[in-house]
Amino acid sequence: MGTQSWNAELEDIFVNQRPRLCCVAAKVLGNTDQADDVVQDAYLKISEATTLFEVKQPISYVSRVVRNLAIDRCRRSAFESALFAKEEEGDNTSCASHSPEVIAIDRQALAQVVEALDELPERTRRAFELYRSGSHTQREVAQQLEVSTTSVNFMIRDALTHCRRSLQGR
Amino acid sequence: MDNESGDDAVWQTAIDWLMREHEETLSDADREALHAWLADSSQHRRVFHEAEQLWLLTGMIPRSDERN
Repeated sequence: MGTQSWNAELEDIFVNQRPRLCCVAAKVLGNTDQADDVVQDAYLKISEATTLFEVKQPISYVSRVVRNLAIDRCRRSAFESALFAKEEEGDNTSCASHSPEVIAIDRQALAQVVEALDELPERTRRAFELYRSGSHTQREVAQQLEVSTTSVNFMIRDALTHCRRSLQGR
Repeated sequence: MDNESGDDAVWQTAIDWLMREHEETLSDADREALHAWLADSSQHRRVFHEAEQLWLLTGMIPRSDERN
């Protein structure tokens, strides 16, 4: 697929599936306030990231990225509330209403991580993929690959540590 | 096993938290424990931030069966 048609497809998804994507974000965030913001952030990051690879099933990929970014935002806003308002016991069940700073995707770092993951032994890479992108638990990955949960745990750690070293060695 | 920056144990703990969070919604007690760990030292915060960034990047990568 050419860059042109990919961009058109991406735009089409973000326009036509927007309510659905906002729903995915809102479910994680526990409110609808920031959902639109997260979806917009996903659009920018995906436009940037997908100059590096072509995606075959864009809808499931896009939904997953929206979900990931919502989780990330939730965590960061929870941290910020905790770090800056420690004395105040706020509501922990949903994300704070302020928007944490949006972090831009470092495309070079992303390219390096893609490369680092490809260097992993096949089974380690598969385990990591199933875990990270398949939204499976370690136990589920273990069942699928017919290995122990402990080895899945080690494979995920290995994968992340390998990526870290690769980034540190830049 | 140690890396150049000698913070492998901290790195492993940071990964632990991200994995737990990936699998379940952290309880208030867990969240407090994580906050306490982060408040402990600037190294914890720095390494956790590094792990978070990497985690986010890995989440942007399509599975190999989704890539062309």
